[in-house]
Amino acid sequence: MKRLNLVEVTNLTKDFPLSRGLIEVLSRKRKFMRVLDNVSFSVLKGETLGIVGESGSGKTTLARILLGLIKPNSGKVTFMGEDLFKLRKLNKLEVQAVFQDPDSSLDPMLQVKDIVSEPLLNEKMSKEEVKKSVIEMLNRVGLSEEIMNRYPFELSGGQKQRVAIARALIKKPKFIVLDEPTSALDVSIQAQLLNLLIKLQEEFGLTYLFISHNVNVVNYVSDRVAVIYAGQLVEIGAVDDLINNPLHPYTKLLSACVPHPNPENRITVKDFGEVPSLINPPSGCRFHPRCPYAMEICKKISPKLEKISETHWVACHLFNKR
Amino acid sequence: MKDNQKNKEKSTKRNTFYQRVARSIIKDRLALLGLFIVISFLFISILIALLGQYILPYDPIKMDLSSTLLPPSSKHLFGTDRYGRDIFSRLLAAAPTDALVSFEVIIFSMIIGLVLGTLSGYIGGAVDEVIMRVTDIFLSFPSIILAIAIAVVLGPGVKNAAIALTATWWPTYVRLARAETLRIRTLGFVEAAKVSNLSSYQIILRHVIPNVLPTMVTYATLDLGGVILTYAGLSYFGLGAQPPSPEWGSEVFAGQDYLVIAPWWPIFPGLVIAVVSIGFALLGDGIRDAFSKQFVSK
Repeated sequence: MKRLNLVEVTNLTKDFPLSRGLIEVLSRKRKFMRVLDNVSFSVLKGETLGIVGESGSGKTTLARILLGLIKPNSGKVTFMGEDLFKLRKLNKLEVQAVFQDPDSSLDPMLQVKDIVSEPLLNEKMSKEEVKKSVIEMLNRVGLSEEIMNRYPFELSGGQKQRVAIARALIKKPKFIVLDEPTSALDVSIQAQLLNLLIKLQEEFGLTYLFISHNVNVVNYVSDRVAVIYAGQLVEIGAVDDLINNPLHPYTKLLSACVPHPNPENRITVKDFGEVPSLINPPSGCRFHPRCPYAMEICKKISPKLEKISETHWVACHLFNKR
Repeated sequence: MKDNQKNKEKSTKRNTFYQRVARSIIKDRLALLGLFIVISFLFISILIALLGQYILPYDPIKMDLSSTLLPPSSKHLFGTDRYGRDIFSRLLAAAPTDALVSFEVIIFSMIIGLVLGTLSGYIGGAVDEVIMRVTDIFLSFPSIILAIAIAVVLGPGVKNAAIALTATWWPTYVRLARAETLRIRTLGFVEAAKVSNLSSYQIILRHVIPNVLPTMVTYATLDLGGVILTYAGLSYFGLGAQPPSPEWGSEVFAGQDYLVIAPWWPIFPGLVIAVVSIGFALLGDGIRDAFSKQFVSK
């Protein structure tokens, strides 16, 4: 049973210019920071693909590219087989987003009904129809319709994020990018929200790209997980593969960082140092300065993604069969 | 259960954003004093503009050489000037022009500021570069000197003074709107609007301008006193309303030679200018506090 690829990302690379000083511009010696380096993966229709990585690893940049907000320097992104940026230009991109900070993702000057109905602004719909679908959406995300005339600052963090989800869903998109949707919330509310997202996914047949730095959260909602480190995809596989059989040393490190309920069983993680600078990234495998298993080859050659099993791929010289 | 009912009552009596701002101002005493001064100023201005001669105690222009330079008394509240004109009446008669000029200047500056500032900040690139460099040229002159220069070129008169003031006033508003726009455009709700395929034009109208407006209104209220002061400066130099029409600034100028023999002539117009400016400043402070309170969640 092979499922369709909804989104396909091939060899995606994104550089951000560092300084824009006059001398650099004139001498054309502008420095760049490689935020995403040759990232390829695909998102299957109906699945949740989790993206894990620490701050500065390029998660949010990846999200913004998949939303069509910024263009990559090279590489291709297709949505249902068509170029994503072409679809964005034609206003035919059925993608929506839920952002990390609910405080800034809702306009403080607008009422909830105007926030939720925003994606329908350019649709030819009567006011009544719009109102009806706003009420329906608010109910679907577990909010009462009385909230319609409120302003964002009158809502709790969880309610705000539900409003953001309602806005993302109202136009019935196919694909939703969730950029750390729960990291600004209390743990108890996080769980409610994650369950809501899972429920809505089933009801609407959605495909999620779930970005988080929290391994537990990602494992809870995802079907497959991709681990990115300093802009490179290091491991991708089904959740079970990554939980039970993490291969890449970085994935192992991440799993070890998950707090364990029993302190006796806790794995102590040694100080592995800092995230590498993206301006002068380490040669070869970007993880080698922090890697306990680093070999000579790791300093020279960047490893390619190798197939371990049907669902599991890893980019590490330890598993290079050749 | 009870809580639920309370909440329901609360939500049926929802107030709009600006209503809650108003309530917060009423609770602030200094702001209330400012509001009182500003409202009396506006009320008097409108009243005089509509009813003019009928309610003024004396004719502000007609000379009466039998009662020159009389000190303040119950008959002449602020005394009389060298031509025997009642200073109180003259100051009242000048209120409508001052109110009109300051509001014109601020409103036109705000409109120019909102349009150019949001475009400059949101679109960026060459548009931003051009708008900002023009703004820089205007800002590089001290405002009063530029205003005097423009007023001199255009010739004295109320309308020209207003134009001269607007020409020097708008750059600050463009700067302010642009700075706010730069902050707003990075926020999540603008990203979300882009994801929902709203055009730049729609985003500016729907998200940027309403979010820039509170800052602009606050600044404008604080600024109105400044405009009145600068306009008084222009009319002090004889570039505002022309004699014999009364004007606060020109009254100070006319009276300054009599500071020793008839101090009431220059002092009362000066006091009126100061009180009105302070009133606007107090109200502006109150409005700023009220706006900032609205964004703190309960």
